[in-house]
Amino acid sequence: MNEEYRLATALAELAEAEIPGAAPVEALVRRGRRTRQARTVSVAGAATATLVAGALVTASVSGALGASSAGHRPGVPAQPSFHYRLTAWGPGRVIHSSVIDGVYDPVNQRASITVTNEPGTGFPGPWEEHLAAGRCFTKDLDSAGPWKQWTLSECGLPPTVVPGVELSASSGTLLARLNAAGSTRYQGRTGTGAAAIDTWTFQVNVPNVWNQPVPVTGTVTATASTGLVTEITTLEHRTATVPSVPKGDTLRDSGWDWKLSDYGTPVVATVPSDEPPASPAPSATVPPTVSPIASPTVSPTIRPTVSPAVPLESATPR
Amino acid sequence: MRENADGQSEYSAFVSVNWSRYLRVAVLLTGDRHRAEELLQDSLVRLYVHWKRVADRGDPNAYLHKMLVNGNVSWWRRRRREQLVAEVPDRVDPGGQPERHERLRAALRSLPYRQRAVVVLRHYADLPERQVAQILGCSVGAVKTHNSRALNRLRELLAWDSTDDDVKEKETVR
Repeated sequence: MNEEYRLATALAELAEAEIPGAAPVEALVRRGRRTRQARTVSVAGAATATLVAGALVTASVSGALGASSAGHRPGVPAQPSFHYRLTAWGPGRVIHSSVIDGVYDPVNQRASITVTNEPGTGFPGPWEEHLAAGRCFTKDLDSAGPWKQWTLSECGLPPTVVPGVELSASSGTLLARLNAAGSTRYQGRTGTGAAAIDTWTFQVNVPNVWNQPVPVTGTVTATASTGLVTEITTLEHRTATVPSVPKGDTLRDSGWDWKLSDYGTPVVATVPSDEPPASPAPSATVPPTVSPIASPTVSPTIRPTVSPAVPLESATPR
Repeated sequence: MRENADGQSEYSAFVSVNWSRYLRVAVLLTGDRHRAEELLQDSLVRLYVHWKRVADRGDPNAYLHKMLVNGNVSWWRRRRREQLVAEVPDRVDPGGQPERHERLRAALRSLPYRQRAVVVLRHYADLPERQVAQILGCSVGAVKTHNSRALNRLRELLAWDSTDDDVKEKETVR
């Protein structure tokens, strides 16, 4: 193995052994504000002392203090929640487009999403999923049926970018997870100033329903100034990964496009009042089996590992 | 996300999502968790003070890396002066980290600060050589030299076993 790779692995292992606590954001802001006020006083005092009389010094100092403290509002959550919109794509009638729209709070493990599948494909109509109190609930929106309770793995919450890689709004966290599962490569920066965007590519092998490794490649883009992820695209290379299917015949690549935004959006996800007493058994027709963000794969509606009895690929028109 | 005039929300979001990553970089740079937290907090306070200017230029990550490296250098120099009159006691690891972690930590501590910074920024933070050069204020060639010397030094202190991935202590007594 490459010596530098070993060093990188050993460093990562050593670093990951440290368990960071929550970022002391409010304390840092308070310290930063005090430091800035002190600097403002110092600079204003020095400048005015050389130019004007003592009375003016007092005025400029109080003015600077007022200006520097104006507009500060603490209360930003330690890790922001975020809105995401996930679009699935793939060829054919069955492997079709799905859209997941929702908000996710990684700190409090709350999520509220709506899943919409393209009509006429045999997949269920829109449904809503809530992650709250360590449990997951779904509700069929067409029939306005009762809330049903599921395990987290059945619902696919919290969301995963690829199997085993939980979605994170932090590019650093997300890339570390992707590196642990596969590899990433920095592709550079585009734009300048606040509009600057950093881009990485990644590759991860994930097992399919036949337990064969399927390569998933993709890109991660993040705002350079904040490190917050703005978009993730994944491409699952499915061609000729199934022994029983001729190469290139019925299997097609498919992919996902995540767009993240609205950092700090409050997430309202409560335990439904009409919650059933017991968890229903999963079936082929209920939403969780085809949930677009069902772990552990990239493609929720076409997830062969979730519903292996449904030969989705073979149903693809030739 | 709502922004106020001086970008406090943006700063808070930056800190909250990058805290873990930079704390780990700081731990590798300093070799000490408490010192790392102190260094990172001091650097983040300075970042707050200059946030608007830094964010407008579009690269608070580079700024923070530079603050961490320079802050560690300052501390390193102070510590070396202090050592002239008092030996710093061996660090006791209350968390009972694996032995190989301690060996790697000790090997990193033995590197000159610039070599150590290059190792951490190149091989942990995964920054390109050009960016490391900007952070350290030196040429790309100098980064390559520091990297090469650091790897040679680590090779002397540690052995990379051909049959497993673990970093193992070299068997020869030095």
